[in-house]
Amino acid sequence: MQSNLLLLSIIFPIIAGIIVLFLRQSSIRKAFIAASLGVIVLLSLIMLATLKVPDIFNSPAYYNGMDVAIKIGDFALLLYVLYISFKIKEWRATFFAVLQLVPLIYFEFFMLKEHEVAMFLVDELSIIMNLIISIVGSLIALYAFGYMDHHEEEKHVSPTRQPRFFAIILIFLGAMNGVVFSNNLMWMYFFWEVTTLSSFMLISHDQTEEAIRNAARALWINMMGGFALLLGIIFIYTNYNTISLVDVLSIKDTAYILLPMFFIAFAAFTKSAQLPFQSWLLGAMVAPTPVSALLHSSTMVKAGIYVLLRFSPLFRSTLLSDFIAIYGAFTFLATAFLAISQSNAKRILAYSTVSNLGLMIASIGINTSSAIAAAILLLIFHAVSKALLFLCVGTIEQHIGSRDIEDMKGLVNRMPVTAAITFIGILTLMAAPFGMLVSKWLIIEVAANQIWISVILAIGSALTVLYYTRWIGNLLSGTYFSKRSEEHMNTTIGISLYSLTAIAIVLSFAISTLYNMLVMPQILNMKMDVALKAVKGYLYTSNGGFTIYPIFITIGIAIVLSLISIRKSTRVAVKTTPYTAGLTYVEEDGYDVKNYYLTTFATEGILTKYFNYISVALIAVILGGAIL
Amino acid sequence: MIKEIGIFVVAVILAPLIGGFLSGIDRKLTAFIQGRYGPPIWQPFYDVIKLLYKQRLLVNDFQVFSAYMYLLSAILSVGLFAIKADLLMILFIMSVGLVFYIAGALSTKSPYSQVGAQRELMQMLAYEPMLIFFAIAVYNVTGSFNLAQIMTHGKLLLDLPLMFILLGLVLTIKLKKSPFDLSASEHAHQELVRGILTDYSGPYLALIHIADWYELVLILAMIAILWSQNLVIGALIALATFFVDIVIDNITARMTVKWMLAFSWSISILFTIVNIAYIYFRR
Repeated sequence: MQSNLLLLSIIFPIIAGIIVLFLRQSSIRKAFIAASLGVIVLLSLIMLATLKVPDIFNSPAYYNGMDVAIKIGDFALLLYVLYISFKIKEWRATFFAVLQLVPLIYFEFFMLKEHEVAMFLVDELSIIMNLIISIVGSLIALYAFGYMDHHEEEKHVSPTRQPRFFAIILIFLGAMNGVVFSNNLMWMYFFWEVTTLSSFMLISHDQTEEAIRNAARALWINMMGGFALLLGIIFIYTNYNTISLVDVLSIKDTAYILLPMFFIAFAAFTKSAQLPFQSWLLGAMVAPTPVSALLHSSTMVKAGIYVLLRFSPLFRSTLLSDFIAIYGAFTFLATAFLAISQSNAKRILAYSTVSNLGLMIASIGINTSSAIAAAILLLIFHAVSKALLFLCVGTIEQHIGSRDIEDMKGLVNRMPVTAAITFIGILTLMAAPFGMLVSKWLIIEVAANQIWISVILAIGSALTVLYYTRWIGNLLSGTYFSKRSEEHMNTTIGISLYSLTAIAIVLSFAISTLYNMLVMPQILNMKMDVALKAVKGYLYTSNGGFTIYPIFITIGIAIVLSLISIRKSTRVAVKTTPYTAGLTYVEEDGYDVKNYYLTTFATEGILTKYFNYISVALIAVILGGAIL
Repeated sequence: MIKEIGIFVVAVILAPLIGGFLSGIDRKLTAFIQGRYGPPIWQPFYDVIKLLYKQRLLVNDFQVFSAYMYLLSAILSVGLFAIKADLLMILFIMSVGLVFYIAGALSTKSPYSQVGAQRELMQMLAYEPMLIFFAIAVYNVTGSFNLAQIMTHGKLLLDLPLMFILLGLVLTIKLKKSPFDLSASEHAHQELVRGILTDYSGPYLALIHIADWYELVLILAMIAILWSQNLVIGALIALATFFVDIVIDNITARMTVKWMLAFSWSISILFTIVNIAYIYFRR
């Protein structure tokens, strides 16, 4: 029964996606998609409530059918990628598709001795991932209802391409569930490749020249990652004679595990768009906003983090792990630098995604029990807040026709609701007492005896505060004389933005429950001592502790006091214009004060070049750590 | 628990008194160095009280919230410091207040206050990492971020001489003293339009001044715990640092943002690495 639930969480979105392809009438299609999303969310909640984890699950009746389908799917997918790569003349994708086909044929037909392995391995990590994928993913898809109508109207798309769009999104969600639940590594590989292909199709959705070019880049980089993953699996099989994840995780003799671990880590780096692979994620912004939100928060990039977390016990306290930590920390800092030079909101968010993923990878590399806990917490909070912010930027862009933060000056007067939500979203991403910052605090504390990493983290955190604070300032700027307009928000867009905001705040508020319920059991699953404890909003280790409620109370008091003060002000205060040294202040003209982008320190192009060199060198060092 | 609440309240009441008094001394001493007579010691309190009763001039509502957030998070961090909580957490709480202080100034559309706020961001970028470096270095000596445990090590100063210098530097940048008085100058008489403070006025400016006193006390307290064996000596060390900063303020001129970042980052990274190497060398 329970394994059927798991199967359903993978198969259902895929079948629903295929059905959506044939629903041409808008209202029926929307109703069907909404219902499917509801089922997906419900499934994940039922699994959270009923599954006894960690455990392996089987439904023998379906095993062979699934296995054959996936084997055929593997080849069909690679052949389809070959076809695409010819069509768009992206020879690097051809190259990596062929490179995967050859070992895959050899492996499947000549090496692999078939024996049935368990279908699903489910532990708290899979449950967390499933919740993120299902809930955040569904909210993003819901947002797309309103967004895509507007989008197609703007771009004069006729006939509508929405069936294709939503079909791929649903299939994407199903494939992500496949990645996080599969116990058979070849299944995981298949679903991994499905996410690559779906992200290609979503990025190229608008079919403009730029969209296809950027999608092609995403395709070949991720095909390279897929190749690395396949190599890793084949190496594991040659050394240990198993493709069952649960058997791999219980390997005692780890002498030959590091090289395959390097390949799997490499695959994770490509998927998570770490330096020097960040270009595909930055290019992915040409797609409609829900796609960026999906890729950046709940799916795709998180698959990389998931895989790395999954295998992290196998390389605990090795040189490989230490080097991965340094590499992650470097990416965190380097991309935070790049984010500073940006005024395009989506690029800021994109760099900040890569940066935060780097932070997660750094803490996975540190690989102590608190570091892993921090990585998982970061994964959760980042997914929610980043999805929210992308959707906000999408909404803003459709209203003001720009995604530049300089153009968002005074947005609070033009789009009060969205501006307020964006403001809260940014706060949840960077400030105490919200979950992201608490996780960051934890990482800095656990990294404190690795001096280089902690120096890097300290600088990176300050840079993060810089690029978000000035954005807040721009959003909220205005005077009492600014022209105000009311905002009419599409219903589905509203539901999705409000829900994500609520989730972001509630999760931060309930961080100790979240930790005790889902994160701490996972630490135990990974056979580590629990160093971080949480009671009533107080997270502590033997080295220190963070308490969140006093900060929430402080914010509450500040809100109350300022409300009282503002109310009194309406009677007694003089509403004045900003100081202009005696010049006449004209509200509409304003003064054009640009943000500091530190371009004398950081021009994106040159910096990217050098950062890429350094990161390639660091990956080579990681390989060295695996071989030695 | 009750004892801790008591300490929290006492610290929250005492800190602004000490901070205000010290800034009075600062003004007197600065006047002395500049060959002026200077205001009475209690002048900062007179100023703040007067500001509190001034007419409210507001540009937008967000300013009000920002001023309160800045003050309250400064209060919270001082209180948490007094009950010996986690040092790193205190630093993060401090920075929340700062985010609002800056965002509040950015939100008014005055070019003066916006440029000031941009520069304050740069100042933050210069000293925030230093404070975290300090916490990390302290951890490397004491094995803890908890102030209670940190303060069982009586003479941290001997282990962390370079971090002590960095804290002195943080104090100068934080107080907006020369050569780091980029976002506004600490002394009102030095300029007519005070950068980031331009559009905070009346009672709200008073809140900001009080918050600044709290933060002054907080940084001085961080210096003082370097000699926690005898906190009187620790306090004297902190005061000495404060006076050195006042002298530096009066003998240097304002530098550029670029110089500040290059200077503070290179110094702080170098000092941190050398100091932590020194800790392990001493063992």
